[in-house]
Amino acid sequence: MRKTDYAFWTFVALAGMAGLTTVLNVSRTYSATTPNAEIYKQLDLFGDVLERVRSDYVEKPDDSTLIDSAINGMLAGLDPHSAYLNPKNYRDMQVQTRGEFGGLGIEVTMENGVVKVVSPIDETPAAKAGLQANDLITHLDGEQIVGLTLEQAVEKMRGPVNTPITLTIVRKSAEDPLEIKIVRDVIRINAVKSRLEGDVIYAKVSTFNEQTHTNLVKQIDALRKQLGKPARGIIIDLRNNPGGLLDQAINVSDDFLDQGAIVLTKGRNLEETQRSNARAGDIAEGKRILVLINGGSASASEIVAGALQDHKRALVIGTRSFGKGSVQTIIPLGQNGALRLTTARYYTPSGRSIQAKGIMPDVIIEQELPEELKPKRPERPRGEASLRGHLKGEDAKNKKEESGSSAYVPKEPEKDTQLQYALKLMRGEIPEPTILPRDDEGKSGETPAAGTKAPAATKKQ
Amino acid sequence: MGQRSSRVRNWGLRLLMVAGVGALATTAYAQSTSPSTPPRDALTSKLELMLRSMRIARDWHVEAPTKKVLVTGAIDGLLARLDPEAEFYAPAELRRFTRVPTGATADVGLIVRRDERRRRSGSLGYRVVTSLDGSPAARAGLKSGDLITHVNGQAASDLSYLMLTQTILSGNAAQGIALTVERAPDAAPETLRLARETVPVARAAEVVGVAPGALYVRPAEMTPAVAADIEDRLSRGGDEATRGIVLDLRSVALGTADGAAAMMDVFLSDGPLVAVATRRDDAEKRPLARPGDAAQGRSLAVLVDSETVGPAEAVALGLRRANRARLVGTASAGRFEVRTLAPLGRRGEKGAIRIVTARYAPTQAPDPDTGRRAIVPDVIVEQAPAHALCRGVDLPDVQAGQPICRKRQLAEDEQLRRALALLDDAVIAARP
Repeated sequence: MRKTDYAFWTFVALAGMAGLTTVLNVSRTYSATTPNAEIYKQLDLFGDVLERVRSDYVEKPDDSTLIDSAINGMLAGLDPHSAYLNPKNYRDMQVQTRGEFGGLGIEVTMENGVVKVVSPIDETPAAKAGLQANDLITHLDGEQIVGLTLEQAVEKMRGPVNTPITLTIVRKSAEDPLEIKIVRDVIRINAVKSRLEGDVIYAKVSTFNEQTHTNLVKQIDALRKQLGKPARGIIIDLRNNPGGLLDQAINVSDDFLDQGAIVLTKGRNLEETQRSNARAGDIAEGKRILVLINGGSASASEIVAGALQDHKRALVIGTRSFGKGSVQTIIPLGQNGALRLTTARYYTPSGRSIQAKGIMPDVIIEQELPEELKPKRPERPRGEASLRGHLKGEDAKNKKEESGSSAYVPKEPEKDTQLQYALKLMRGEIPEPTILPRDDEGKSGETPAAGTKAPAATKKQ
Repeated sequence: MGQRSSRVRNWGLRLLMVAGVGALATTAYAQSTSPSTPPRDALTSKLELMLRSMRIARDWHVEAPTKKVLVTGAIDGLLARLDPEAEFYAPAELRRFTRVPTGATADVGLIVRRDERRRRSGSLGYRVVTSLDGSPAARAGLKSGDLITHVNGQAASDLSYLMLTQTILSGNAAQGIALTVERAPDAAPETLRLARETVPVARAAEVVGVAPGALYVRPAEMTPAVAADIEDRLSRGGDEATRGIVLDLRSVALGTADGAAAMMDVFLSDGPLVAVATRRDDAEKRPLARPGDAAQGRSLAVLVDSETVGPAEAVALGLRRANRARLVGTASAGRFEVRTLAPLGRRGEKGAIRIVTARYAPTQAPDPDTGRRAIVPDVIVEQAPAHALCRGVDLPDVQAGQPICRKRQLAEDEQLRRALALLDDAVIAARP
């Protein structure tokens, strides 16, 4: 005991040398009769740290935020995708996955402390009320926006359906500020944007929310009708799509597959292995499919790309994807929000793990970076493998892990090298590429077979 | 088999929900039976939420984490909420320091702090707070804001503060160390080799005439001995300071609360001095100045910069609040915190945490936007010409082909010249 005392006093002396005075606190032991003693015992060392902070930190800490941070730290320490969602974060996440919310229907940014309208979304209350791109919103219900963050302003504009809000708008063409009253309605986040490129259907899928599969099917159907003749093929653009719901990834893959496995998810126990199979039917009617991916394609995007690649249903074009091969389950905690916990890894039909590796395209097409974006020095690694504390991939033991690639996509389609390549290939304007052999092909024997589809409703990628 | 397995899983989820309901019920019960201590209940229910989350993570996370991993993560999360520099030390790590013998130490003269971007985004390493005058670090040109990314080839972010400062930057013998440093966000990293040197026993104060009727006072650190030295010199030669005194606290990082109080007392005849205050201390309990001002009330200008740290900042702020001095230079470091290695368990057998337990008083209130406590001087003067290699108080030079930093002369020191001009303004303003 003497020796420990000595050790602490040594610190005081040494720390003094370093210029920051250190005072030693007399060790205070908390009473064993506190009502939380039993919980503290189960929380182990954490209880000691918490009590020490509560008694000695220079300001009286807020117990609730401290423990929220502790719960989050406990999960974040496991892998980069596990987290504690407080009630607000949980609500935000639900809005994101549901893909709809009560609001006005404008895309906005912040400029000089006020909100600027990027564009009103068609068929929404904002568009009907005549809001225009570049309108500056200065007040919400008479309260000024200056001082709010964009997030706070957006929060105020959202609200229950059928409730009104009055916006004060400064518009270049109008001398005086305009007051516009708008009644909130259901706004759907459009996860799919599609168009015809000649006789080729191009569909950009930006996220996998609850609307994605339905949107995709509807839009491809509409474009096919518009074309009036069979399409030459479909380009599915999954670049910079960070993922989303697992069941949506399965449904979207299923849209183009007639049979066979789509994805396998393996929990930590063998009996938690789930395999989902495709049902008959292909909305592309057997026409050629090209899938675009890049370093920003993660998770659910990688499931779709991997499934269509393994079944040789699509040719995957672009650069190596992000490499997030894990499944998160949302576990609601009543009024306390929810836990987002990594509960499984997923594998492509041939048994490949994507974790910290990514999907390698069949044809690698790099995006040409404009001069001003070229890195001045070698860039830091990207992708899942560069995340601190990521789950190790299957064969990570002996080699350095790498995943991800550039996530740059030019705004103008004509400058978009990857898209242009896909279009030319589709139209037969360039010869068929030689497909790169994959080093892990034919390893499918190791995956256990399971029969049912994943009950994926509670899962989120 | 698949059919069965999904049933198993569903059962698991159902159990989880039942467990959830059970926990809620317990909370409600606890709340209804002990209404006398409401704050305890809020804490208890939060702790129960934590315990429940821990069990869910233990039972469901794909990597089957141990309790130890979960508890360590929780401690990290809690400390990160306090500030980026708060750290936990396991008993094994603490024992490594007990082996360091006291006595003669060698040092590179570098004061560092952990970079603010930490954990999730990945810590970058340690920032230089300042390098001590004349030390190997100062000669190598290390200055406030430089980022140390690697130490002897090891990622600096993986080193705990005490490990870095007590066993590498200083130690019991002269030794060479290699630091990889980024001097600007986009600059290529360079590797500097420094050798630890034995710290000089006594640090002095410089008191010289810099202009007719003006005295320049530069303490090396805020200690009672240095303050006594300055007081002695002023009481003997203070009459020559007809214009006033410039107190140079630029790059002054060392000292104690006692020393800072003594330094203020040199120039004040009444009012509160500097103290270290925990949240339980009464702010009014600061020591009071003794009667008598060694400078006889003559004009006082205090030079501060981004490397004015802790005790020196408290002195500068205290003299300004007492209307005794005006501050010239650039914003100070804003580091009023006193960090303590607080033991866990009765005598630290469970380890320790290094957290802020007190602050120097007076303390600058945090800026509402940035949260920083930097003191903004009355007259802001950037030092010119700025040079990437040298601190504000230094100028670049070349000796024997090696670039070094040397001390500025008066003619080159724009901040000092402005401080002298300020003294004259004050004298003119005081005339009837």
